[in-house]
Amino acid sequence: MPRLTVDQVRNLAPDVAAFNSGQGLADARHWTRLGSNDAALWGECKGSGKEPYKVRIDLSNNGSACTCPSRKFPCKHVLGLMLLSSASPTRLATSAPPGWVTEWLEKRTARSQAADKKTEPKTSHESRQKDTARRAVQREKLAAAGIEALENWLRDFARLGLASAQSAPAAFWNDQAARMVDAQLPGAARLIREISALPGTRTDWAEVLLLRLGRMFLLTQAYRKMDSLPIPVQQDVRALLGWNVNQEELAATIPGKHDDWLVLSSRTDEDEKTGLRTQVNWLWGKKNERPAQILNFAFRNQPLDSSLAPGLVLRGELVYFPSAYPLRAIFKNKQVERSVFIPSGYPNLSTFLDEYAAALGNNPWLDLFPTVLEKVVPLQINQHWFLRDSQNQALPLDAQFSSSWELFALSGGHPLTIFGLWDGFHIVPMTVWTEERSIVL
Amino acid sequence: MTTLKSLTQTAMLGTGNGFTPPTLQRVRLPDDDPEASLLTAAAVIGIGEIGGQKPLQLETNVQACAAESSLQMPERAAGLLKRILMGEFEALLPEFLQMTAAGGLVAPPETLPSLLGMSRSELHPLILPVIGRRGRWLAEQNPAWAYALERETQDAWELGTLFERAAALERIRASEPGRARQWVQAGWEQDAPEHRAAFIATFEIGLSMEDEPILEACLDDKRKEVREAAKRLLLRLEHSRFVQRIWARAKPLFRLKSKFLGGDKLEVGLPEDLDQQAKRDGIGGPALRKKMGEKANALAQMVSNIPPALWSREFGKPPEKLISVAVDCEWKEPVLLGWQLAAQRTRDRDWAEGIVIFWATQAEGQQILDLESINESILLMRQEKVEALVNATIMPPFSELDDKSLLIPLLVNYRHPWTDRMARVVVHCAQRQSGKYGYNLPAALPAFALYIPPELAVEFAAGWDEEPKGAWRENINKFLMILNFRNEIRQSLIR
Repeated sequence: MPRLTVDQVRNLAPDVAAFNSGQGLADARHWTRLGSNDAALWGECKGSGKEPYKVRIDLSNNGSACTCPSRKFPCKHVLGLMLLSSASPTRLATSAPPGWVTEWLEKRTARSQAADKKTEPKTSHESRQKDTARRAVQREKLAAAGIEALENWLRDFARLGLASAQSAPAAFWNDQAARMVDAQLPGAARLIREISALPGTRTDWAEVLLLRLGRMFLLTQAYRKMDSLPIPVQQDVRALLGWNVNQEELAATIPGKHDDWLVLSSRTDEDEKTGLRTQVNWLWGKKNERPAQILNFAFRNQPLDSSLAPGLVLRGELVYFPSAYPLRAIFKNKQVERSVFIPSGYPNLSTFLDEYAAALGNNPWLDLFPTVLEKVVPLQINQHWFLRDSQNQALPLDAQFSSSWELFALSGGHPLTIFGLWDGFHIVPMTVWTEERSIVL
Repeated sequence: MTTLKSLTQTAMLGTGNGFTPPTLQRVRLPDDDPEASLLTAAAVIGIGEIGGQKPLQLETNVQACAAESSLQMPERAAGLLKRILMGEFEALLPEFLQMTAAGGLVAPPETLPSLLGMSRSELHPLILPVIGRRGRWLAEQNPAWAYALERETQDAWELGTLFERAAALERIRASEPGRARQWVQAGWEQDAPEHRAAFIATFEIGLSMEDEPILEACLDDKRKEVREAAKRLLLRLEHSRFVQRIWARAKPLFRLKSKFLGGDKLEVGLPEDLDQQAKRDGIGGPALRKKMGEKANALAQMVSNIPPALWSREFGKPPEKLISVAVDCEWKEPVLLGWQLAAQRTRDRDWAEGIVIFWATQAEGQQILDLESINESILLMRQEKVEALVNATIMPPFSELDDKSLLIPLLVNYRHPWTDRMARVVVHCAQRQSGKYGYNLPAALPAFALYIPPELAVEFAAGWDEEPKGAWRENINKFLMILNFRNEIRQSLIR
């Protein structure tokens, strides 16, 4: 595992206060019995208690443990040790780990192996099948009611008019989102929360809102006719509504794609209201030349997977969730690769838009289309930014994108390769390659 | 043809007000269900539009930037710069930029917009050497960053903004001061008064008696800013008519009596008749200090506009001596205040040192002197003098640095690099006191960290008390963090 950078430690921190406290502890004078080996880092940190706190970090996945009573995870002692090892790695001399480190590592490997093993079912195969069927029927009933409620809400919205959205109270959106959650349709709830943020935030907000409402209506109509739809479309409908896919079953039954997968970007957003943190990771397969999206979730201070750092290449098998245009995926297995590569993208914007049209045809609800564009130059006309390709054709950048000048500075008027997300209206650049380096924006 | 845009216009008002569904090519919309029609049409038309869109045709060209001629700063340094630009250790930006420029390095392109966009203009001279060709290319594309363009000096003077014109003047003053005078005189009538004052101020560069005539003429200018700017420069020219006039008034008021058996006595009289000429020279105007009387104020104003070196020459005594006898004279307040301001305005180091030592060591000093501007005097002090003061104050085990000592604010405001020796004396003193409650000394540590040689960061990590009390704990952390960061900067920029 390459040494963590300060930015990565900052991302791991549960909040700013913990990170700042961690920085204060990133000095050798607070630590004794520091050490490291290929598998772990460890040390003892003097705190306000009588005994120093024992801190250990598992290098294979940045997992950690500390004996301090703090409820934050990772705590400031772990963060301090990470920062110390990043700034002065020589302080953690290679040595034999003390007992409390080896014990901890052994327990971790045992736990993850146990999770991999399939547990013996206690009940008979037949009775389990009956249970599953019964639960499925109940779920369908609940969902059908939820879908009907959603359709009515959409119709009311259409009748009242979009202008009412600007002055609608928060309850207008939140109540409906809550109703969707009650009906076990968390995906629908997320869609409602997303459109609630639209009014007033961009000049074309009303058009984007209408399109989204239209698509949601299409979704309700599709649900009613579920059985007559092709299987991949059914899967997309269910995925969008929030049906959970059993990830273990998925990994076991569907063949994955073997490839070198480059982590392009990793962003974590926290929903203030629900406390749910969503980590969106975008990857690119070298041979397959296609993107993959890995989603991880955590509540408030719970730890998120910290192994997907942008710039890392992971060699492994990736299984895509079934869809008419597969994007979301999970790793079946992976290991870190030393090499790096630049993804190959569309040579011009026309080719890119043709691909987009095809993708939309497969999945009309496609929200964000990940794309790599080669040989594009950012430029500004009348305060609006565009990406122009080698054939003098251009598409607009998202007006909310705040690093346009940085992008422009990186290009210097020369063509770049850019990975970004296209929503049918604007591009949001995420990662950039110049001739010499790659920069995550 | 119905577009998403036109459909949106209808949708804004809602179908409640009536809605005729459009005719679509492949989908039949229900006639009796306006809501379903609207929403379905929106989906079909909208998806069709975004799926079928063509990119814009854009013929505009951007002139590409030439390859960078200077070396990029190493990646580790770039990482530190980005942290500073995001707000961590902001105070270290000037030092970072100086070291980068000294190494002949340039900042990475993605940091250029943040650097160029710095609103604090005192940073601009530090930013320009490190932006490289890419930075200047960027500045051409954004009018807000025009200050970074190296325009031909004459062009800048004739066509530029106030900032550019003043910068052009400064450049010309360094090599051809006379030409600068010509330019300023030529444009005198057209230029705005505030601008004139700024241009006169640039004459500080390469100031000489040749500038005296134009400055003397400025004393008659209608605007106060121009008169003040001129006076500020004239008082640095010992032989100017301005200084000579005031000296002629002030000198007769002072008499130094040397007593044989020791003890000099300074006798000072107050000025009597203040004519129109005096007012022109700035005497008798608004009071320097409200509590002093009118004549005392006039005396202070006179003294504050005379280079203090004239006094040491006249009486043949060093500043410390004159200051100490002034303390016993009747009009000590206007005299000492005047000498402080004069020393600051003429950048006289000897007098500034004398004033600061008076302030730091004698209680009266804090009452008589102008505390708001004492920092200017502190900044003029020489390193050896400050170090001597430190060594005289901190002599373990006999005398330590008291928490109330004025040496602490002096060191905080002495914003110049310290020597290794002085750093050790002060920091060891702080370390000895870190086990006791303190207020001013611990609070001053982070400020010290900005000027202590960063190579000492590792050494100073050890030596603190096991259980630092109160304000010490947090401030020791800050101190070490700043020192370590500066050390990282230094190491990352060494090639």
